Amino acid sequence: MKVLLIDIDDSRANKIDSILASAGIELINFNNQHADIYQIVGEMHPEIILVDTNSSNRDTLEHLAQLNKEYPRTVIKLGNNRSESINRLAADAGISIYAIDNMPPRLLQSLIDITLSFFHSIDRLRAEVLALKPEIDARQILNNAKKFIVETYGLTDEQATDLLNKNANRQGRAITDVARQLMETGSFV
Amino acid sequence: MPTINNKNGIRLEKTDISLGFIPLTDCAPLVIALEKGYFRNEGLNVTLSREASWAGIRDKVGLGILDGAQMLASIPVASRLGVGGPRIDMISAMVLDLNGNAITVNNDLYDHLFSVDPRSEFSPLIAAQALQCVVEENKRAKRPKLRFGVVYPCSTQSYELRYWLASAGIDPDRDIEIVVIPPSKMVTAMTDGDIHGFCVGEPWNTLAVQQQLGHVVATKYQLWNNSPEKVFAVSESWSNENPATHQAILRALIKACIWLDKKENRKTAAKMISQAPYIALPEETVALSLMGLSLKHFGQMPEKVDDFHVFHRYSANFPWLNHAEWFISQMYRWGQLTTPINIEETVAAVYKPSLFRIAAEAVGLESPSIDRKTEGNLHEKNLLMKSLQIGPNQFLDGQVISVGGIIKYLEQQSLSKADIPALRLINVQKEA
Repeated sequence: MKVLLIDIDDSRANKIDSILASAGIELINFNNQHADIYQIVGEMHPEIILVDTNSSNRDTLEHLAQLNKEYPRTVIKLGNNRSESINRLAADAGISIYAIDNMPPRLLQSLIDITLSFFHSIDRLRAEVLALKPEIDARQILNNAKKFIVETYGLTDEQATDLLNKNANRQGRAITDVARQLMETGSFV
Repeated sequence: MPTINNKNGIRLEKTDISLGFIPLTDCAPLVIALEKGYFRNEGLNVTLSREASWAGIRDKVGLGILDGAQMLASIPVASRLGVGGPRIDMISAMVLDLNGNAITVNNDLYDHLFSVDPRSEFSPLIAAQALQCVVEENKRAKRPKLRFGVVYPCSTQSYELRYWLASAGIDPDRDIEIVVIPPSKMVTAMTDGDIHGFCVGEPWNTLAVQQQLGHVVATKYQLWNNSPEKVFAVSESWSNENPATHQAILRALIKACIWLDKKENRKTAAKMISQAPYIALPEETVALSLMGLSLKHFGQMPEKVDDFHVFHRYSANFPWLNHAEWFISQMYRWGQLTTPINIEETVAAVYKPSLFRIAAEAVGLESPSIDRKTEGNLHEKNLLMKSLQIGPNQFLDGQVISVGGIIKYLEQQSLSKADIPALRLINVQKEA
């Protein structure tokens, strides 16, 4: 089975490729703004096209589907049913799907689900990294402040931590706040 | 979450609204409704989403990713019928603008047309006939077909280009090649020599002429005076679930269209819509056609065409059912639609004059009391008084479509692929 990818950036394409290739699907990645979509589709005869939802080449794909009944056409329903996964594929992964008429809905559904599950795991990873970031930033600031104190006042690491803690306690503020202020203004208060 | 719109005390089902648009001059009603605060005054928090393709807009509205969008007037009709795309039950209660498109040919082809008949410079009919001579010449010399670009297969521009070609006996499906290219790439495609001409909305024709790439040989106004171009469309299920919100959007858009139609506001409008988040082209390129100046040939004074863009006058915003009928007639003519359908029922399911009337009344406007009107019977020279309710409606080929006479009209169209007897069987309406 041939799947053509259009305007899907490499970071997405590489991942889809590694998953689909193991299922025996031949993936053709096409990411050239200047090439002729008519020629590409005409020569390759893909059974499925995955295209960036916001690609400006989409209206040309619509024309191809109109010119030739054998070419893939937009899928927004599976069989006669509204499909939540097609919606999520477009909304979350930014991918729209075109398939030839006699593509079994069940096969399409699996393909979409596989693609989606991949994107969701990546998205979750990204969300987790994002959630971690403030904590990492806070540690960085604290370390910088300690280093500053050690270098400026000739104190040990332990003494620098003590100093920051004392100032934080006295002012009733978080230690990272005091550290941030120290780095920004050079003063504890 | 239901909220109360404080100002008018109307309960809106939804206040955070996302609307799609394509960077073209006639995205103006949406932009103005946002920038001038008409949406805000209705209690709506609208985000405008710039889209790269009509297929993208269509599917996002169908899937509920967008609440509504600017669309080619033919798209809701085509989607309802599943022509050139998936079947989506879309409705439109409002037309955003009339006219605004043009057909541009590259310099080489224009010189050729001019050498066949110099009146090609100002007459779309003669330019089409000259093109027919060129097409015949190319056939004899076994040269490849001329290529013309449009932005979407079932688009107003596609039907306009085909209408113009067919007026001179050129078969758009056999004598030339039509390709689909996004509006933003149209001018580049002409520069690269990929296409010899195109039919597209502004500001792309003006840009092509300003860059000395080509000449405008026909405007949409000349092909069919004051014909509908873009509509505001939503999915039927969205409209059923959000009737008050739909009305609030319509009211804001009507106010924007009234504002836009005032001559003195057009310069400000050009400044707003040419900005980076919208069209992202020089203000002077966008301003020209908005100011009613039709630039056809580089180095010549632009023609004064007050009606180049019409946003409100001539009952422009009213979704005339007979306009939707015309799109269906062209789908049959060019073989995009082959199944015989009940035309009257179909158009009434898509265009919604009743919804428009409610919104218009709420902003203190009178609406036409009829849903259909005759087309092609009013020449601009015959309209003695400049009426704001009704404008010229002539076709390039001088045809007239009476109310209920769409099949009779279709029967008279040249090169038609329509199965008239089958259509007559299903459409047992009284023909005028």
